[in-house]
Amino acid sequence: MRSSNKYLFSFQIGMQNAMEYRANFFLSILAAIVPIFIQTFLWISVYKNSGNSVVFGYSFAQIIQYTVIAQLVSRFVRTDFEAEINDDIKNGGLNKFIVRPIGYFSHKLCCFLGQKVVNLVVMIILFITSILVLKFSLGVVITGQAMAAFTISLILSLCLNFLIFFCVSTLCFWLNEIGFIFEAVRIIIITLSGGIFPLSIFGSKVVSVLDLMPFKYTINFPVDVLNSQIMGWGIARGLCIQVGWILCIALLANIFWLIGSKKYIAVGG
Amino acid sequence: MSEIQVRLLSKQFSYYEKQTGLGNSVKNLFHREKLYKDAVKEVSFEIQAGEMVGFIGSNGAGKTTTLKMLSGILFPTSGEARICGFVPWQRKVEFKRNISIVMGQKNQLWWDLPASESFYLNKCIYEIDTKAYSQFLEELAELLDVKHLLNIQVRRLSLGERMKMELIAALIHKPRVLFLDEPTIGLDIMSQKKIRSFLKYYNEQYKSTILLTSHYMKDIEDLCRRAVVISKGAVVYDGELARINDAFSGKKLVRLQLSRQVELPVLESFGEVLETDGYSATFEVCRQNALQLTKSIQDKLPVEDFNIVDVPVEEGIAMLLQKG
Amino acid sequence: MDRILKVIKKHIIVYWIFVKNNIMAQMEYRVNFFSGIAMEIGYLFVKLLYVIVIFRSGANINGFTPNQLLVFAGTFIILTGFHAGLFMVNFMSMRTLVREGMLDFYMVKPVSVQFIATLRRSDMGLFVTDVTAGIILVALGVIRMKLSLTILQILGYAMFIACGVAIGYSLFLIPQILTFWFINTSAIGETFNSFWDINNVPMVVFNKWFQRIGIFVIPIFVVTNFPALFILDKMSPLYFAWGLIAPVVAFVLVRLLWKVAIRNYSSASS
Repeated sequence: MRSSNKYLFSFQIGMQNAMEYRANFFLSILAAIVPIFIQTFLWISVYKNSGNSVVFGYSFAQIIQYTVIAQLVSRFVRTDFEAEINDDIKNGGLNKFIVRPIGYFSHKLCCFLGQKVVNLVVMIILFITSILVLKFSLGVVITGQAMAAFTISLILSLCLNFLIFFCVSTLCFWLNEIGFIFEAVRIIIITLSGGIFPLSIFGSKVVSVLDLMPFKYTINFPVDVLNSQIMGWGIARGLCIQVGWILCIALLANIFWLIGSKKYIAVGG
Repeated sequence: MSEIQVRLLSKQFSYYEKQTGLGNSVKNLFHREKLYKDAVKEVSFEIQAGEMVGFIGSNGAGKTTTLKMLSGILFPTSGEARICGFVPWQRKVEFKRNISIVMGQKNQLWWDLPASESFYLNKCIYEIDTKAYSQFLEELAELLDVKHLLNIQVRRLSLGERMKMELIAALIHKPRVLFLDEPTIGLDIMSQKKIRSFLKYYNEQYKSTILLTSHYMKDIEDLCRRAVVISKGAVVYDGELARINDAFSGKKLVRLQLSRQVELPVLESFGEVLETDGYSATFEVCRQNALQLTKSIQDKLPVEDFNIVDVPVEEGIAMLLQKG
Repeated sequence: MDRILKVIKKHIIVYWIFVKNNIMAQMEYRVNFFSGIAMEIGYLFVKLLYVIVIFRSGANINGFTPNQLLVFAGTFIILTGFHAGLFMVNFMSMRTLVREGMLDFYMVKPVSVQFIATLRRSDMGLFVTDVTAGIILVALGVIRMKLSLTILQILGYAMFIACGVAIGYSLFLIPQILTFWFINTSAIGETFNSFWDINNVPMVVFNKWFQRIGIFVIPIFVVTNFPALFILDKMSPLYFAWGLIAPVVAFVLVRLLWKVAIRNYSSASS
């Protein structure tokens, strides 16, 4: 097999998996609607009862747009390979990658991207639908520039999120049992990424701390770009930070993996 | 009345097929073709109380499916069965108290706890009297030689030790009928032997009825006088194990050792070859032709050694399954 | 009657052994146990975000003060303890149960299959964490409002919690029963788990129609809102009656569905 072919193969496995579990696929989209629904009602009550037109720095239309788009983005960048990695580490699945000329990391990345390509079709449809609904119900306008910047930052987010969760997965080398850990880590990371509420609800002190972490660049940043909360140089600066984080965390992931696999080989798998 | 009565038991199930490749995955997304398979076809047999019967067949022949129907896990598509007078799939509590099933590839014990905790759970589930329970547990543990292991977590036990614990868990409520599905699978010779002698003793001591499947013919030969052979879902033989070869009565096997390699076509010109590796060969022949064959072989082939034997049980079954 | 009592007694004894065994098994993996609790606190934090949003925006929500909403949030978290600690750990493993054939073992045992399959496992770490945190929040709300509660109110609250537990069990088991028909239901679990979160905000946030649906059609609001409404003395007689009837209806329904599912399992698999 030529080297490009084998990655294509991993990519296709990801696509096939996504399609095999067709029920999952449609239902997970349904799952995104529930929090949107809850939060929309919460925001309606908050704006109705507070009397201010701007709460936490967002107008009503902006906050609803944030709620919807953040959900879609967090579904889209979401990873689900942690349990697989754990399984590979614990039950010797890694061995076949030690003897095969394909990197485990690249295999997982290609699988992940393959899966996302399948999801992409549905995501684009949902995305366009929600933009149209927002436009006609709340008069939200999205500029071409914002759209373009959003697309670029979303691709970077996808990579960044993959890397963050790949890092988290290396925990498996050290923990005997995983249980709820990945789920819980995920929910915390999603929260700190702004996937549930805009980060500004935490107040400016917390936000300035979160600015120093990579998480907000997976959800909060692309959504604010689309929202026109961030414009011009802010976008360029944000994209550069995204790339910076990708490089840092890629390095970190490789270091963790290296240390972990040494331990793995030492104990004989 | 017989302890186990099975009449024309059949089981059909549906499944869907997925061809390899991405294109077919897409196709599968929208349309799945349903296919049907007869797992068990009109199986009938009776087993008397206290009997221990071997249930033989290759993988996928329908043994496990039959056992699952008899223990009430699955409904049959058609047919009848009575176990201790109960219809298994009605799943009466009284029925459940009287049976037990052991599946060699699965375990019911709590993985992270000592086996004794799982036994205690079963004690409460089956509502066993405390005194009777501890006495019987002691006896079983003694017989299986695992008394010292009762307080060690199951996951730290070896496969053989775990199987012994599984047996205790299954027997603690003294079931009248016991279904054993591959109880010795993957075990070393010593553990197999121990489990066999235990089952033998248990069956004699407590007169329980046992239906046993195994891939190891030794298990069945040692334990069961009677065997039911099943192939592709249907019974092909039911009777005394020792007489299984009556179906091949008049057949003999001729085994040869050759001093140099002989090609298969040459061998086949003498008769039906069951197996050969070039330097040795086994022929299946009619009794009356055996002598004549060996004579002509001796003349024409470089024979070093030969013997004529009856068809052994194991090969008899293999032949049955191939032909069935 | 005597026989029914005996059966119930037996199930209670067996349940107690389940709980005990679970605790012992969890203690085997101490790191996992404690990190699990730490993570549950993380989950709690996410739930509290909703309360933070309400408190920081400083408004009364449709006639309820932030302190009253604290009682709702606390009740929700108490019930989350039951939901996550006693039920979901089982419901989520249902699919492996079927796939790996463990269900077969349970089906030959002389206790209810539904009982073993849906209540065998428990996570006391989650349960205790959530219930404690929930009670603290409720108490905080009650103290800040300077309410004085009678014994009867507290008992009534406990009773509606029990009803909520029963409805929660039934309501969230239903999608899991669909496990029998789907290959991989992690998404079903996830979808319905997010329905649990609908109680993250008190039902008064939703408009009238959603409230009616969530109370009378799919009684999800009944689970966590009714105990809070009762203790805050905001419960109408209709709600009171429905709060007692709904758990019975839900439980009977899930029981029937379970039987259909087991029947289907027994007929379809090999």
